[in-house]
Amino acid sequence: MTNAIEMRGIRKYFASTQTLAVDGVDLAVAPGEVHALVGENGAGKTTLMSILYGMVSPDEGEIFINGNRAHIKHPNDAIRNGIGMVHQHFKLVPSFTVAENIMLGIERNRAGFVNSRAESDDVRRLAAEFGLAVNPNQRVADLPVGMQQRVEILKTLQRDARILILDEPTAVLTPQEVNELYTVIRKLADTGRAIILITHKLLEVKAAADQVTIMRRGQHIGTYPVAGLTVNEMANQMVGRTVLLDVEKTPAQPGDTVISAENLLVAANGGVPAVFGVSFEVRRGEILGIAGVSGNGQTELVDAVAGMRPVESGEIRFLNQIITNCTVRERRIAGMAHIPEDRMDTGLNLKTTLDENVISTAYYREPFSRGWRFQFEEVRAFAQRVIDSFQIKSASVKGSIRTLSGGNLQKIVLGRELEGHPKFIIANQPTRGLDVGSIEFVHKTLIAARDAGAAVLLISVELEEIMSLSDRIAVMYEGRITGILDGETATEQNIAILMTGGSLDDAVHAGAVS
Amino acid sequence: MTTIAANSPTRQPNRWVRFLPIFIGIFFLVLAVAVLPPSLLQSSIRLATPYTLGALASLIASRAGVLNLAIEGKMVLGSFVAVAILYRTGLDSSAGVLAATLAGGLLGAVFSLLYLKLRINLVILALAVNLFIENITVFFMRVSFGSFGTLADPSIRGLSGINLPLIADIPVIGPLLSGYNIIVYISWLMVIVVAIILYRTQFGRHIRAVGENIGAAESVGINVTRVQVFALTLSGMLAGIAGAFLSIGVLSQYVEGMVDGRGWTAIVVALFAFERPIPAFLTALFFGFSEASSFYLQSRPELSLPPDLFLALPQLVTLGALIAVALRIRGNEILQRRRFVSQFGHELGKLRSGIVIGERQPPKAIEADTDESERE
Repeated sequence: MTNAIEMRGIRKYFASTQTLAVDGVDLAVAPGEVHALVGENGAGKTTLMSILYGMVSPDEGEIFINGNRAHIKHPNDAIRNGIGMVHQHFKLVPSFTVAENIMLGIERNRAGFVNSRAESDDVRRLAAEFGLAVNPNQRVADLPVGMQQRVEILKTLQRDARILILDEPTAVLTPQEVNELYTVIRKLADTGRAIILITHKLLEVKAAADQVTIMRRGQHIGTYPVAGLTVNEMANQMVGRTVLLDVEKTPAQPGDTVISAENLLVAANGGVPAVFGVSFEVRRGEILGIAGVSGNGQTELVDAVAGMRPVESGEIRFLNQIITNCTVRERRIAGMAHIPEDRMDTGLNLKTTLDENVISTAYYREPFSRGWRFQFEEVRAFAQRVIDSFQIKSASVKGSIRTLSGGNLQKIVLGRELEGHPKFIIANQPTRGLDVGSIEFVHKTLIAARDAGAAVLLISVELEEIMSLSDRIAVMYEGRITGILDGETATEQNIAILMTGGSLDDAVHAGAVS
Repeated sequence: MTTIAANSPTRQPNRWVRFLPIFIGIFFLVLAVAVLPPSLLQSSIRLATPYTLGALASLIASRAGVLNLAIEGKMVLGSFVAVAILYRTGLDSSAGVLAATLAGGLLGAVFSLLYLKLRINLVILALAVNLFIENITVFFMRVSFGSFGTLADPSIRGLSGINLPLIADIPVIGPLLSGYNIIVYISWLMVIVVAIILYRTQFGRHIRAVGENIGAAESVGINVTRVQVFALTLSGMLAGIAGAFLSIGVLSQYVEGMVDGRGWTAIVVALFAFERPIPAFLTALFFGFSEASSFYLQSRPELSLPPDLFLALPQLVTLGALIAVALRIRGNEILQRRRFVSQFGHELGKLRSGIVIGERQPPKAIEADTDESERE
């Protein structure tokens, strides 16, 4: 039987970030098959699917649809070839009705005047055909997320899609809606359609897919029938065995609790709980690492602890003071430092000079300001001290920082945050996008801060980083902490299981078998 | 396999609430007809015309996702071109209306190409167009016509009033609906035409899709650029007619500065009406009424009411409405957070604090129907 879709030797290099996002990947999906595409963040699965849908053009490789070579340069070409995509962020017009959304661009019309009644009938017929009940005349803005997704699926079916790509389809759904979606997916596959499911949730793969292709760092690791693979085996393949970066570190000497959070409830944008009942504490001279696939509530948790997002319920204590509702500035004055996830956007102001950047968290107080006057000499001396002690190359006190490399930019952030000897440091993805040398520098700096008595909360999606730096490791999944492990004894496998929603009890059995 | 039921926990919006502003508008219309002198009402309706057309021009662009701040400039161009053409050719005044429409449309098309093809900043582009048109008309007036400030000539005939045969005979409202010049009737017609385009045609649906979610429109293969070019051209034509009304509809001459900010006010009219054609028409009537009543009061010093206050009234109402809208959005946010806590706070209490492993999935989205969220 010819495959519904076959991608051969796809390769894509992004010059802007200097990454080989997809490195010679093959993918074949038969009609009637549900094929899961799994991998960590940055494994290249979304890039691969963007290539298939014509949003990104590959450097190398061929695509065959039903055995015929296809040239897909634009989403319109993809639609013409019978490919439909349900994006993670729905592409719906909120004020339009269900029927208007489904028929957008292919309106039933006579001389330009649309026939709404015929459209509603069409949608009703389509919905009945696939057993996906919708009310064609309801406004999409009034629908729950699960129904909006159903509208998106119907939209592709109305355009007669034979190949359906679902990008992280369960990320926004309730468990009830997830089960309904699985039923829908199976039903569509039974009509001979090929379904590609992009996901990093392995339980979901088990529940919904026939075949699974695992990707890691842009490479194709393997394609297997789902039935013959356990979740733990998949987790192992997904994470892979990687060489740990050697970080010299003495055992932690934890002291008093510096910061504690209890039962935090934090909302994501759009009123969905992102952090759900998270409690933790970090002590003096200790690094608590938070591991997890990105998008499981880490960003919102950091924002809440740093004071950039309101806490809906729960409590944060810092040095025995309740700071749940304190502003960012109050927290910083109390001794909190924050190395944000995005240094270009949140961490630094690229349009201004180095000295203004390094004093941006404390410019208003002594020694940089006295009364209403800037103490330029103090500012200059401080900036010079940061440059010297953090070895920021090709930078000057008054120089623009726009042209500096990522590693040097991160050193400026580190200098600003750590030079004041904070009592608590939040380090969110501190080495993202850095070269090996800079990574080592950041790691050493954080360890040094810990040894000097600071409490460090380290958030990273890089497992190695978490494992080599942390004294204790908390794993987050779906907004909750699924386990806190000891940094010395934690294994990569255990963390991988916890961060994909599994439980360690099963893992023990699996380990015994294999 | 069974059909999966559509769960529809949605709130049914009360239909009458949605039409409430229209009912209030109609109520005031009826009240006005009953109480106010007919001459005041007639001039209100006449003076509402540039606001109606300008607001339609603004809303059709906004609906296509382009904030059109160049309406003032297009109006100035329309008013100047109408008079200039009549002065040069001596043709019938309807030719002036046509020329103004085409000039406005052309400027709209050029504007859209500069914005969409060259990606010039929208606000700066609009300001540049406004200033350019304002000054280039002065230039041409001096160089081509040798006149300063005013371009007037007996050969320029303004638009004459048209009595609608049957409607004029209706008691009470007949005189209010008849006797205006052609542009007034065009403006009424355009309200309906724009409403039909937006809500009943394929093109209008594409306009609204582009304006509301450009990604959705692109993903189904709608040519976004083309839709916006058409919308802006149409917008320019409407603004051009509005300009022609000011120069050859009210007077029969062009006076420097005669548009006098009406293009900007028209944008406010469209905003006030939430970019919908029929509410925009009613709002324009209100603005026309306040302008007319200020003239009316100026001609009656015995009433000793400050006429400037009446000119400022619509602006004050607009400011109030904008504040009300902002407060409503803020209030909704607070309400949403309260509901969030009341829904998920309970669930949280049930969990053992600290580590929770896989025993209970957290609910992921707030259902649209949150009234039963405190079901325990």
